[in-house]
Amino acid sequence: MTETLYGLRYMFVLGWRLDRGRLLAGAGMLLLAALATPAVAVSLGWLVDGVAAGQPDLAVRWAVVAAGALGIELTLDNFAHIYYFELSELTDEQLNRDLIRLVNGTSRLDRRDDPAFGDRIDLLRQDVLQMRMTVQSGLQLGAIVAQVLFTTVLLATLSPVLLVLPIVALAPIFLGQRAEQILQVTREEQSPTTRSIRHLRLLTTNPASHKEIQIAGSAAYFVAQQDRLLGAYGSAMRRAQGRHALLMAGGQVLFALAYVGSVLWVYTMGRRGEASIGDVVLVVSLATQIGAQMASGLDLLGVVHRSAAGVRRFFALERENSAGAGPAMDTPAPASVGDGICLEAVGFTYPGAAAETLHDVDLRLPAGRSVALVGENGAGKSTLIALLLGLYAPTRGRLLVNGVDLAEVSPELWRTRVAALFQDFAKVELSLQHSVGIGNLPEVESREAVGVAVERAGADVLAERVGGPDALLGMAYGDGQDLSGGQWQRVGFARTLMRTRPLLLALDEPASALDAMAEQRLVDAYQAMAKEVAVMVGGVTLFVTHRLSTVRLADLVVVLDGGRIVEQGTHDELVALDGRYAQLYASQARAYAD
Amino acid sequence: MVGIGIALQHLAAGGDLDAAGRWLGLALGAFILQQCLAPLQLLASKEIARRIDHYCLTRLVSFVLLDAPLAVIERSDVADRLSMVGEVFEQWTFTPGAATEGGLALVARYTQLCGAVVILAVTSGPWAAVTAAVIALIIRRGRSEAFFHWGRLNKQFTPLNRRATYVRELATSTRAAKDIRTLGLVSWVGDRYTAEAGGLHRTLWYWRRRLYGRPFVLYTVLAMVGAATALVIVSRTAGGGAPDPAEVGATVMAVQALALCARFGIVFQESDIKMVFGRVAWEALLEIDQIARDAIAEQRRSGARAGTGVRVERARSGIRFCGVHFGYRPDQPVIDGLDLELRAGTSTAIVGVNGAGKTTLVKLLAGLYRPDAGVVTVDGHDLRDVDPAAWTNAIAVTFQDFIRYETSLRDNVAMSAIGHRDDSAGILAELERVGLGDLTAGLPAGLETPLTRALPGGRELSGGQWQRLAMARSLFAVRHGASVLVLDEPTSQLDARGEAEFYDRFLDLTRGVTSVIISHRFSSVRRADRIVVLDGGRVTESGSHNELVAEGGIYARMFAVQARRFEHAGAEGGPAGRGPDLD
Repeated sequence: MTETLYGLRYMFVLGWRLDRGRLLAGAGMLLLAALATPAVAVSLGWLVDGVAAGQPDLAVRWAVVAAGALGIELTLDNFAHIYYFELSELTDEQLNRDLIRLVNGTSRLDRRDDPAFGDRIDLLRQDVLQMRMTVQSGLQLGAIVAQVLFTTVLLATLSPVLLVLPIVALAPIFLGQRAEQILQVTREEQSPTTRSIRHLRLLTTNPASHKEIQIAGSAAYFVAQQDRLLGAYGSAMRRAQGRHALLMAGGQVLFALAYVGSVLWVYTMGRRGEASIGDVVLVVSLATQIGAQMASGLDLLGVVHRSAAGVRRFFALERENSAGAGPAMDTPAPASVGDGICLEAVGFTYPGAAAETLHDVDLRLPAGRSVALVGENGAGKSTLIALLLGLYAPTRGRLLVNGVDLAEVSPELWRTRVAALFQDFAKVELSLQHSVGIGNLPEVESREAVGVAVERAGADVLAERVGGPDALLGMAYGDGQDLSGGQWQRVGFARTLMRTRPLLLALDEPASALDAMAEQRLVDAYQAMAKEVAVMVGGVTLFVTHRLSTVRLADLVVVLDGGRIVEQGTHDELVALDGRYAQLYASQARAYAD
Repeated sequence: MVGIGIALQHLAAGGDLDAAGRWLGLALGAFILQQCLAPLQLLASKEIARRIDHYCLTRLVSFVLLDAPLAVIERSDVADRLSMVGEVFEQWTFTPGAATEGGLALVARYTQLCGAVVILAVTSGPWAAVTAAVIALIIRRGRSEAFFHWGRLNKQFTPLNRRATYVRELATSTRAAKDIRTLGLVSWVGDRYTAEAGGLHRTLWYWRRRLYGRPFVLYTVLAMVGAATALVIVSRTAGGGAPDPAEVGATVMAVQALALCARFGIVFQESDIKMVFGRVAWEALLEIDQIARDAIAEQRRSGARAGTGVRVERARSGIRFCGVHFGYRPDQPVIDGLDLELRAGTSTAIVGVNGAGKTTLVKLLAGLYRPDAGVVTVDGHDLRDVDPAAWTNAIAVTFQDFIRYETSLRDNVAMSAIGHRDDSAGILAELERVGLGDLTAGLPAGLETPLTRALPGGRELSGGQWQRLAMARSLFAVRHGASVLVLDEPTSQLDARGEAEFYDRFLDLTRGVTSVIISHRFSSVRRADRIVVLDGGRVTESGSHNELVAEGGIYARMFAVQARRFEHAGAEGGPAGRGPDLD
C-alpha cells in the first residue's frame, strides 16, 4: 500500500512538474462529473417530493437542476479526458526518455548479455506503458472516492441503517476478485496451450513458413492440431468461467438482498411518515449506483497498484545504475597506440556466470599491424573484442594501451578512439544518412562525411539504388527499402568508416551467407581499411574470422580455444607448427584442393 | 428483461403506498433474479465469443494452409491483412468474438432504452417520450460518431506511432546495446525519441480536441435543454393541488426512465471499443477470402489446368525445366528461360550470386509456383497435371529459413512425414546421420522434449543444431518415400568443423535420391555429380567441378576467389573478376 501511495505521489509530482494546467483541468472536471451522479439522484428525489406536495413550481425548479446535473454527468468526463490523456502522453514521453537513459546508463555492458536482465528490461518497457495509466487511473480513482463518499453520506443522513448498502457492496467485489483469480489461474495453467496456439498462428500468418508446410504435407495436421488446442483451451476456460459465474452470482445475490432490505426499510419509513416518496426514489437510484461505483473504484486501485510496482522497478534500476557507476575516471585516453595494445594475464567471468570465459590471456597487439582472431564457436573471440572496446572490464589482469591502464580511462572516452563492426551490428532502420552517420555523431548530419564513408565502403551503388541519403532503410521505422544481408553489411561497414582515425579497428566477419564475390569484395575493403589505419595512425586492426581463407593476410594469427590462447604467430609459422590451426586450416582447404 | 425489471420496480416503488406491497415484492424479486442472471448472461456471451474466435482461427489456418496458393499468400495486400489478423489474435482483446460480445451488450442497452421510452410515453405522454428518445439517440450518435472517426484516424496515426515505437525499441532493447555504447549514442537516440513522440502527440492532440471538443459542447447544451424540457413536462403532468398517489407513482417512474434515457449518451465500456476494433480482424478475413477467390478465378480464366490428375509418387526418370519463365512482377523476371534436367538418382548443385533465383527455382520445382511460360515436367508429366498432394509427398526440401517448430523434438523431425511420427527408430537414425546422435541423451524427456524454453521442460537449440535438425527432417521424409531432396544453404550456420563433416557425409546423404544442393560454399557443392551456375534466371554453365574450373567461366572465378588464399605462397595475385554487383 505504501508502494502504491509512493507511486501515485511520484506520478502526480511528475504530472505537476510537466503541465499543471492540464493536471488541474482534468482533475477538476472529473471530480465535478463524479459528484453530478449522486446530485442527479438528489434533485430527482426533490422533484418527486415537489410533485407529491402539489408544488409544481418547486418541482420545475428541481427539474432544471436535475437536467443541469445530468448534462454535467454526461459530458464533463469527456472534456476531462482530453486533458488527462494529453497529460499522460507527456508523462509517457518523459518516462520513455528516462528509460532510454536508464537502460543505456552504464557505460559498460554489465549484464546486458544476461537473459534475466533482458527479461527485466522487457518488463520495464511494459511498466512504462502501465505507468502512464497511473495518471489517468489515479485521477479517476480520486473522483470515484469522492463519489462513493458523497453517496454514503447521503444514505447515512437518510438513515444510518442504509450504511448496510456500501458495506454489503464489498461482498460482490471480493467474491468477484476471487472469481477473477480462478480465471487467472486457469489462464496460467493453460499458457502452454495458448503458447502453442500462438506458435501455430504465427507460422500460418507468415508466408515464409508456408512453403515448407505445403511441401511437408502437414497442413491438415496443423488444422487438426489447432482445432484440438483451441478445443482444450475452450473447455478449460468454460469450466473456469462456470465457477466464476457461480461466485459472481453469489455476490450479486447478497447485494440484491441488501438492496431489497434497504428499499423495504425506506418504504416502511415512508409509511411511518419518516421519509418522503422522494427519499424512496433517492435510495432506489443511489443503491443501484453504489455497487458499480465501488467495483470500478477497486478496479482502478488495482491498476494504480500494478503501475506503482512499475515505478518501484524503475527506481530499483536507477539506484543500481548509480551504485554501479564507481569513481570518475579522469585519465585522458591515450593519443596513440605507441608500441601496441597489451593484455596482461587477463581473465573474464560474465556477471552471474559460474565459470570464467577467458583465462590468463597474455597478448601483445603490435601497433600498425593486423591481427586475426581464430577459433571455433564459443572460444571467446567476441568476449575478447568486447573487453578491448571497454564494453566489459576484465575481472583479472590489465589492458594497456601505450602503457596506460584502460581501467583508469573512462570507457566513453576510450571508445571515441575505436571503431568496430560487430557480427550482429545493429541494423538501424532510419534514413541512410542517419544509419551511417551515427558512426561518428559530430558528423551525423554531414552529407559530405557520410558520402565519403558510403563510397569507401563500396555502398555508393546501393545508396543510389535506394534513392539517396534521405531514403529510409528497412520497414520498421517507415516504408523503406528492404536490404539483403550483404547490403546491410555494407551499410554497417560505412558506419564503421565514419571514424577515420581509430587506434583500434575491430571487424567481426559476417556470419550470414554472402556469395563468394560479395564476400571477397568485403574482405578486400576490410584489408584496405586495415592498411589505412596502420599507416595513418599506427592503429591496430583486429579481425574475427570464420573462414580461414582470409587469415593469411593478417600479420599475426591468434588461435583461441576454450577461452585460452593456444597458438599465435604468422600463418606460415602456425602451419609449420602443425597444431590446432594447421588442423582447422587443412579441413577447410581440403574442399579447395585439386 | 432488464427493462421490465426496472419498470416493475418503478411501478411498485411508487404506486399507491398501501396497495403496492404486492408490486413491491414482484419488483424486488425481479431485481434479485436480474442480479442472478447477469453472471449467466456473461457466461453465455463468453461462450459465444470463444466459439466465434475458434471458428475464425480455424477458417484462417485452413484457408491459408489448405486452400490458397502460395502466390496469393505472398501478395503484399494479403500479407498485410494476415499480419493484421495475427496482431488482433496476438493481443486477444479485440477479436471478432469480442465484437459479438459487444454487439450483444448493445442489444441489451437498446432494449433498456425502449422500455424506458415506453414507460415515459405511458406515464407522461408522447412529448416527454419523444424528447427523451431524441436526446438519447442524438447524444449516442454523437459519441459513436466521434469514436468511429477516431478509430478511422488511427490508421493515420499508425506511421507516426511506428516511428516513435521503433526508436524506443532500438534505444531500449538489447539488440543495439553494444552499438549504442561503442558509438556513444544515448542522448542522440533519446532526443530522436522525444522528437518522434512529440510529433505523434501533437497530431493526436489536434484531432482529439477537434473531435471531442466543440461538438461535445453542443451535445452538452442539447442534453441539458432536452432533459430540462422533458423533466418539466413530467413535473407539470401532475398538475396543481394535492395529486393522487397514482400520479406521484407515474412521476417516480417517469424521472427514472428519463435519467436512463439521458444516460444513454455515456460510453458503453462493454461494447463500444470492442465493436469498433473487434471487427477489424473479421473484415480482414473476409477481404483475404475475396482476394484469394478472385486470384484463383483469374488463374482458371487464364487457362491454367487444375492439377488433380496424375499421381506421381516418385520421380523415376527425372525432372525437367523447359524454357521456364517466372517473375513476381511482370517486368522483372526472376527465372528467365531456364532449361535444366535433374536426372533421377543424381545430385545437382546450384551455385550463383545472391538474387540469382535459386530459391524461386525450388518453389517452381515443388509446384508452389506455376511458370508464367514454359513447363516443368516430372517423368514427362506436366507438373500442372500432377496431383499436388502426391507430389509434395515425393519431395523433401530444407529451406534456408526452415521452420523452428515450438513442439517436441519428435514432431520437429517427423513434421515432413507427419503420418509416421511414431517411427522413433527412424527419427533417431536420421538424427544420427546429421551428427545429432547424442542430442536426445542430453534432453530431459528425450524425443518428447519441447524445443523451446517457453514450454515447460523445454530446451533451446543452437543455430547449428537447428540447421542439422532441419536436414534430419528432410531425410526423414526421404526415409518415408520422398525421392527428391533439396537442401538450400545447408551449412550456412555450421562452423568449420560442421562444414567439413557435411562434406564428408555428402555421398551418404544423397545416395539413392534425386538431390539438389544450393550453396555459396564450394566445399558443400564440390561432390555433386553435376554443378550448374545460375545467372540472370537461367543456366549459364553446367558440368562437374573439374570441367567447370577448366572452362574458366564464372564458377571458375568464384572458386578461385575462395581457393586462392588456401593455396600456398605464390598464388596468382591478379584481381578477382568482378561479377555483377548483386550483393
